[in-house]
Amino acid sequence: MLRPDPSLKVLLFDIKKFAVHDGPGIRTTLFMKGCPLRCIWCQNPEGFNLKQEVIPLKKKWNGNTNECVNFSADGNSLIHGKWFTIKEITKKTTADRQFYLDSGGGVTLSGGEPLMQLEGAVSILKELKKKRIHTAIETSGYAKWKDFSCVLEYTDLVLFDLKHMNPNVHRKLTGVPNELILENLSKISGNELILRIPIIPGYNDSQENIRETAAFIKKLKNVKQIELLPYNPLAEAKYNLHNIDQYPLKGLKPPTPERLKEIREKLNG
Amino acid sequence: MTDRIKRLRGRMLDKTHFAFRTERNLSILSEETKGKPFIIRKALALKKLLEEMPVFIQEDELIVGGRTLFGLPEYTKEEEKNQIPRQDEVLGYGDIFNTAYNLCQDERGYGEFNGVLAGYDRILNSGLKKIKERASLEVEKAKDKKKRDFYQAVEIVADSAINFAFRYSQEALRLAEDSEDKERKEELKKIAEVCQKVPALPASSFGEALQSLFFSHLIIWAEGHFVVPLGRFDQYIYPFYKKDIEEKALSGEEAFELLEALWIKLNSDRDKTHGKPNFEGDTGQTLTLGGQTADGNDATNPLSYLCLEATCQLKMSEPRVMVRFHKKTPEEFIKKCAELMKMEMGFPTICNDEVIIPALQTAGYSEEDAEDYCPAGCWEISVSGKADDRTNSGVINLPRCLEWTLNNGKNYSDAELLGLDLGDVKEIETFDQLYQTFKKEVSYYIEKVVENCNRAVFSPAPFLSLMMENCLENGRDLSEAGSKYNNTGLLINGLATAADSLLSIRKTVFEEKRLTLPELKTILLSNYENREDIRQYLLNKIPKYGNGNEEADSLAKEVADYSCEEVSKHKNNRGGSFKPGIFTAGTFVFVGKKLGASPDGRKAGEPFSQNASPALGRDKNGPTAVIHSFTKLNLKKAVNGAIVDLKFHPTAVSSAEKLSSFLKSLFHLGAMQFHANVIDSNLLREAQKHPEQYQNLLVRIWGFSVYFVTLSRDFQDHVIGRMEHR
Ligand code: SF4
Repeated sequence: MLRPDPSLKVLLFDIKKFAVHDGPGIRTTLFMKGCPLRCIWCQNPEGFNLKQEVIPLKKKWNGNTNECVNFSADGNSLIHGKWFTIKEITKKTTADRQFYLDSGGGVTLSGGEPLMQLEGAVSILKELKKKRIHTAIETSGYAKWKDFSCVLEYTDLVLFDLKHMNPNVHRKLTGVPNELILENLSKISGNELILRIPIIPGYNDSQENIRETAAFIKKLKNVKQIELLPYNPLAEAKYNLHNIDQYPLKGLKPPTPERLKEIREKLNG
Repeated sequence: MTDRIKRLRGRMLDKTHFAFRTERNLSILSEETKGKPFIIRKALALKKLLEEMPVFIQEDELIVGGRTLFGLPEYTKEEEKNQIPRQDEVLGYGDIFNTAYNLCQDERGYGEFNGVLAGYDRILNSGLKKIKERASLEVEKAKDKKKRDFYQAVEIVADSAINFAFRYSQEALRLAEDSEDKERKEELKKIAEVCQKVPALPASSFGEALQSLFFSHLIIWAEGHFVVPLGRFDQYIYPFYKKDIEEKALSGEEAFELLEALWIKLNSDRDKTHGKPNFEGDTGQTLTLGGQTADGNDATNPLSYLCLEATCQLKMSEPRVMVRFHKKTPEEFIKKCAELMKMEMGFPTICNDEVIIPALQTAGYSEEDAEDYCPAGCWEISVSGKADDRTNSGVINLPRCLEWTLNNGKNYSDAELLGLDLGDVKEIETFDQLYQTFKKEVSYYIEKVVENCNRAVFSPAPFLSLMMENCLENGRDLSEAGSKYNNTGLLINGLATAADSLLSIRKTVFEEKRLTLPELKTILLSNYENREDIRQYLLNKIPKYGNGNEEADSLAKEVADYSCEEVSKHKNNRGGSFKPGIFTAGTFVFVGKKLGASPDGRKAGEPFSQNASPALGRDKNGPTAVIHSFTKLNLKKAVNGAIVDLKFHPTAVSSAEKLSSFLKSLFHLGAMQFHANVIDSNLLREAQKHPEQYQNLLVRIWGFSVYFVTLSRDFQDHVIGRMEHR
């Protein structure tokens, strides 16, 4: 088991307070930097690498910086990512305790992939559980079961991303195969589970894949809810802004509400 | 919503009642009346106005009445005019030492009442006839001439009000005779009965109570007062509702229809409020729901919910809904409030009993009265039927005090010495020295405002007085400090801007020594010209109030404490005290325009911080952090009220559950007063482009909601800015 290390730090690329879309109630969401996947639709490309990154700005930017994103000294680049001690994180997240209590909310670790910073993730969750704060992780599920289960021990709710059922296609779309992911998903037993399914038109919304996804979900026990995450073209602007190579899904349209409804019915069927 | 209500609402929005308005040059001055005391002449003027005011009843109406003639007839003698200098300011809010009585001075320069919570229950429960009889008795008995005059004035106005209603009764009969529609004929006969009865006699049904209330309310306006709140409506009206429902005299639907009919009526004269030009929409017609009863139990009742529902359904700007939360407020009520909040109308404002009641008790209100508090006007706190608290009497402009601190007691834009000249900034060597100077300027500013308030004389108000505890009993008009409480409320302005500015100075000048104080002053005088680098540094690198930052919040707390204490230590000339509140009304825009650049990075002319909220765009950690900063202040010291504004994009508060749990947290954390605008800034931009399509889009600007398209471009931009910085 992991020993608590007071000097341990985690690298975050955003802290979102008053988060109302990442689990129940009012929450604080911590965006942990680093992800082993490279989903072609990823909306948080600034979360890919587990290191601070200096990204030159193409043009003058008037947007807000946040705690985790700062201008470089010359003002021409943005520095993505900031290291925080576990203690700092605990203080920041417990500040909103009253809001969690009244709303049934808590703290969500997201990313990136929170399991990439395993020790950090476990330490944060452990501290929060000590303070009886509801915890959630949003994960791709791509980690060794041994590591995954360490995190699950201190997690109330798992928001699990289910991207594609076919191993080869999964590899093409995300850079990794899906066997480990599906295996982990089937093993989760002591936690509440919300499945989050991105719907990327033309990539993972074929009838066949939806059917297989539905069949797989049927076998799972503790699924509380299935959420669809329709493709959001705003990601494109973000890629440009962050100067991250070519955006792979240029010009892709989000799924229509009718199509979403149809998929939702099939999955819940 | 019934079809009738739909039609009534449509007619109100189309302003069909404007057709009944008329203008007339009236005077009551004659050889005979010229010899009468002023209060009698005022009563006669109200009498004449009500006699001459055309009556009208429109199709479908259930609650009738309305002002059709505006302004009291001439009743001031030539030689009495301009006894006190006129201090009218553009839109009513000046910069320095101004007091609210300037907003509406009569021809003598005397102030008219605003924000007085009338004791409507007196008229509802006793009827004016009884009040008049009592006054007549006292006229006989009174030895003191002033008392006799007062009681005589009361007799006159009570009679006039009864006659005014009687004319409505006759009009209804006339229309009933003409009506071909059998059902409407019956309705009109019923209206005639009601108007013959109230407000002369006690109301004995829900419909009579609402009609009596509406007549009394419009006569308060007619007497020349403005900002006319409705008090704890769900408390004083509920017994009538309950009785009718229990006795099956009314069905639930009929009662709701009557309530909605009153709501619509209250929208009649939004264009006739006060100020020059008239400040459209600043009616102060707030009504307060919920809270606790005298024995500490929950006061919500079925009528409280109906009121919220009526507001949700009608989507009109009047009346403005305030709610009180306390320990035992039911979940369901909180949820209903959240639903209303989500309707994007800027309602309701929420008041926290656990903070406000103890604050009032400390300020000298009895326990019973404190428990019965309600907001008067925008948010200012007072009690119904017992207080002339002049809650909006003057403004303490903190950023201006800082300007004086840095500029030898002068505005940057002005050569005149307005503050204290306490020496040049060159001589200031420590932050503490600067802070002490600032405090002296604040105290001086407060003293001047206090002096000015204490010079104010108010015009007699016999009709309003007859509804107030002690006035009738002791034969003393409200203007003679006749009511039970006679305090004066002041508004502390620009708290966040001042505190953030002070912190900027402390850090850049005294800690980091990045600039000297004279250098900073030069930069401010030039409005950051060519020094955008410094401005960006100040904006982005210095912590700001509203982010849950310890350093920034504790300085804001110190400044707020000091200002509140300084206000509270003053006594007024009516045996009461001065009460501080932390809010701004519209001054943050109007007065912000005249204010030089401030050290927090704010440019000259930009709005300063609104209410007790962070400065615009400076709160970057979300609404929970804003609340943490707000609740760090000693809010109980702000007896007149302190409010924080939260703005949400609709997607941020997707469900009423989440919003209502958020409201609960605000309450638990000890926020005093708060309101949230839930609105989409894109929609507002659309409305700017196509105002014709968005005539009914409501937004809250300060104490009240207005139709967005009627706002000046400044205000529109400010509102949008508020939404967008998130
Ligand atoms: S798993 Fe999530 S964070 Fe990682 S690449 Fe895929 S979408 Fe992006």
